[in-house]
Amino acid sequence: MSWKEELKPRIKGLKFALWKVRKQPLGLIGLGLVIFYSLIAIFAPFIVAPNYPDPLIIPKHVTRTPLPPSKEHPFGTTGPPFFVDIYYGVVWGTRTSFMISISVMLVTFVLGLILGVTAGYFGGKIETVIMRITDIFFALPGLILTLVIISIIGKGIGPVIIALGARWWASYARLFRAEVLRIKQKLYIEAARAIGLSDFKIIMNHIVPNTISSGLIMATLDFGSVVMVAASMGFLGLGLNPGTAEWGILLAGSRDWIVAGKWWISLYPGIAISTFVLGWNLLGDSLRDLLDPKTRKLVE
Amino acid sequence: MEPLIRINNLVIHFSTFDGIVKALDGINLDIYEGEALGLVGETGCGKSVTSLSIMKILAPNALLKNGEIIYRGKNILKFSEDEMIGIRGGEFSMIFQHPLRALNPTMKIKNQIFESLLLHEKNLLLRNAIEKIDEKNSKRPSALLNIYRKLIDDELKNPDSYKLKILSRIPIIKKYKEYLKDDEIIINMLKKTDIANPSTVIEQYPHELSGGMRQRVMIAMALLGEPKLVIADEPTTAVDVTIQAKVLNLIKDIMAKFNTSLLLITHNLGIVAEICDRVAVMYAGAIVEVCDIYTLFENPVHPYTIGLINAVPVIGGKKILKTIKGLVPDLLEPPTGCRFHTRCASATDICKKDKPELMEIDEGHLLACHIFKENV
Amino acid sequence: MRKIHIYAIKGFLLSILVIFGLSILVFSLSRSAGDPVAGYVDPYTPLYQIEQIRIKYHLDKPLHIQYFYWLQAVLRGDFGLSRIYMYRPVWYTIQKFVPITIELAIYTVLIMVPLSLWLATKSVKHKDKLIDNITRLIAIAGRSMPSFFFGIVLLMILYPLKLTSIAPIFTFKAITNMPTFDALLNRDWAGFIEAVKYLLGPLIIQVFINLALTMRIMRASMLEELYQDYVTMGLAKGLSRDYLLIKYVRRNAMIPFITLIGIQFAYLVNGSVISETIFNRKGLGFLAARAAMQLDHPTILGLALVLGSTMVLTNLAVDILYVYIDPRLEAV
Repeated sequence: MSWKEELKPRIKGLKFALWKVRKQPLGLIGLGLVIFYSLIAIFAPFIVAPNYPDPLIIPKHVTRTPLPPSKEHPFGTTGPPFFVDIYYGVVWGTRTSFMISISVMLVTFVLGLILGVTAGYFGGKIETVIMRITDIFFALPGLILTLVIISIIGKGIGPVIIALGARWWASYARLFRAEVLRIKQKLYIEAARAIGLSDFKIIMNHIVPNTISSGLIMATLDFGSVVMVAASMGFLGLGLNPGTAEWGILLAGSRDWIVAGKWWISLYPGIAISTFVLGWNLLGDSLRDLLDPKTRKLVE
Repeated sequence: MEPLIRINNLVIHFSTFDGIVKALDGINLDIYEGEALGLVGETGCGKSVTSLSIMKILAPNALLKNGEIIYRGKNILKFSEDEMIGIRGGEFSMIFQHPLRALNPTMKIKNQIFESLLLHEKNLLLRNAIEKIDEKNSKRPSALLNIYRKLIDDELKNPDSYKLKILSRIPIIKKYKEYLKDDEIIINMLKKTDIANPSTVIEQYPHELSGGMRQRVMIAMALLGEPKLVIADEPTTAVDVTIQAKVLNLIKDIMAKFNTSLLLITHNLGIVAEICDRVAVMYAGAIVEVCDIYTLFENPVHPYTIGLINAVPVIGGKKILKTIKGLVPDLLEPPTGCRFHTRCASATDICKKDKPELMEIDEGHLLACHIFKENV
Repeated sequence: MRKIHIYAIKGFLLSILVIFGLSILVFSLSRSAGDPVAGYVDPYTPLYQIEQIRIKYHLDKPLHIQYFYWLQAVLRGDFGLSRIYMYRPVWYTIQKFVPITIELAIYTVLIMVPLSLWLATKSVKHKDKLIDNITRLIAIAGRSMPSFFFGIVLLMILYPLKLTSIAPIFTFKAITNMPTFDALLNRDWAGFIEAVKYLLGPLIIQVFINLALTMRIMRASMLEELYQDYVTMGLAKGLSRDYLLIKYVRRNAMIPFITLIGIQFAYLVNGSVISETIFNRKGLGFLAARAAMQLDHPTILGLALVLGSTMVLTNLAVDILYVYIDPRLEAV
């Protein structure tokens, strides 16, 4: 086949993808937001000078009451009890959010993948056991489970990742198991077995690639939620140490100042969280629509 | 003789994610009173779309690009929704392929039949209700009976009024509904289709019945308005062979009784042979041949028709099944000219360029083909 | 025995199993947080008594034996003492906070259900037009906005308008322990207004967040029903589109919707940690937040077990209800 002939279906596929993306303006907005925050996270040191020795701790600025936005403090300061600069907190908080989210997603994704695929592929007792364990974790409402774990493990970024991971792994395990069950029925698995491929090879080469896409969509949708829950913990004073650049922690002291009219403490971190989560949600929604089996043209 | 329904040059497209599907490419079809017309073709050739167009219940992404459907001198494609509601279920009715899917799963059979009665047999219900009131209630005060009569009348004329909604919640007053929704009438409707145990059936839900019984229920509902046209969309495909025969006979009886026309949509030539007087063969959104039933089997002309007839396996015949080479075309980008040319052994240049018109080549025999129009 | 009974029993046994698993999890956590005896004593207990308590709860025995006694204690209602509430028994503390949470749950559901049905129907009827896009926007907003940001903004708005009550004082007699109902029963109209203000902030947040979800799910459910054959047949019978939308589509779509509401109610009963904290509403969520903040392990673990169990049982009830009302599933 000449290269022209090979190119044609690829171009058609690309055209199709672009056409679909055009129909999803919200998805583009989401993508834009995600890219925006990624850039901020990457270039944080160039936007605001990093604090020494730990850039994730916000430099303090002690005053009796919170300072409104000014040239020195573009978003103002929080005043008691944390005395931090909000601009620094919001910018470097982007890094913290990404760090937490990526770690949690990695852990839950991998753990959920291994357990879910094992459960789905091998079935029987293994499946029952794993599924019952996920049932137990599902019984607890999300925030409670996280609170319970964090109150026992203590503060810091490690405990936060563990607590969040404990909450989310079960969803991924269930998702991957369902996907495996769906794919298992397909004939080419039977064919591969008939040829004599070992289980491991079948899993790696056939099952995993096809289930990954659903997992990725769920991960995109959850990415924002993880940050939201982490911020909730920060808001309640749990999780990360006070003074760390994290959006929830910034919001923690804001409530008491609201009634005194100091709006900036909650506005900027709040907008940051909302738009960050919004971006990931919109992106995830669009990806889900694009890869919908009813309308997709991707290779199965 | 004027046909009951005349479809002229109907062009219907569907707007989908993948593009515009050119489903019907200028259909011409006449249906006469009292006849059974078979509409045959492969899956996806547009048979269902044609029937849904007549009833005007196409999906929202359907585009009417051209054409008219003349019924009683008027183009029903231009009718308003209200006017169509008047026709549907009454003068035109439809029987669906999968009776389990076509019946509302959470409604008892009697309520579903009652819905149809309320729409199309108002007078019957009214008369019956009044009879029942007069006969059973010498004890009740006549004022109450008058209220009942008035409410029944209202219900039939104006079922959505707020007055009715409120009044029908009041304990004693709401008894009027019992006279209206009389089990006897509903059972009588079912009896017409020879269903066993109608009194039990009406209290059941669709999934509790057997396939044949569900089909009968659907036929009962389709016929209760004494329709002029019944459209049966693959009525026997989802049913066992034994039930198939019964269903077909039922349809035949009813047609004879009421002189109803039948548009039978199917891909099963055996059924066509049983019931139909004439047949229209459809391919990829166009009618390619129309003739009477004998000609279809004895002297088909269009290459596609011939292919279809030959493809029917014969018991004791050759071992290799004859097929028509090629695949059904993609209606997103259909073939130019005659849509069958890509699979036709005799195709020539003109077949690739011009769409053949449906012309009468012999009495009652229509053909859309450039090559074979001389071959009668 | 009918099929539904078998289904119920199977479900019940499974639920018990899950609750057991949950208890094991909670137990393990309780034993990883310092000396377990701390959960059963207060600062005034003399040392010798502490040793007695240690023996009473079998805390000196190996873990698997401890679990057995711990479970027994729990089934008696003994979760330990809650440090944050004057060392009262945990069970007692939890009970104090339950009515407030249930009150919020009741009002949320009462508002949410008709509103979701109405909006979902309108969205389906005018699909892809303005109202549909507005509901889509609300759904996205409800999902993306962190409840505490929304809560703080709401506080900013409601507080100056005096529409919220952060530290209410109720003078009427407590009957149900739910402020709005008690106020009405006592005919204390001023108290009723105060109780409503106490409720308002969290109520708006909860309704908004839950509405976003239920509305879109109902819409999706209705759209699925809309394209079924029986609706086409209904059209073919001559029924009007409005009639079909309400009597066929919505009625059938409501079946999964009802179970969704059941589960939402269960979530609401678990209390909303964030909105209760912001508005100082003393429900279970507030309790959980306080307990976690102050590292009161008996309380938070007790809450986890209690809330988890109610979640599991509610899920079971909802599952059975679903099978019960949908005639199609009788063949299950």
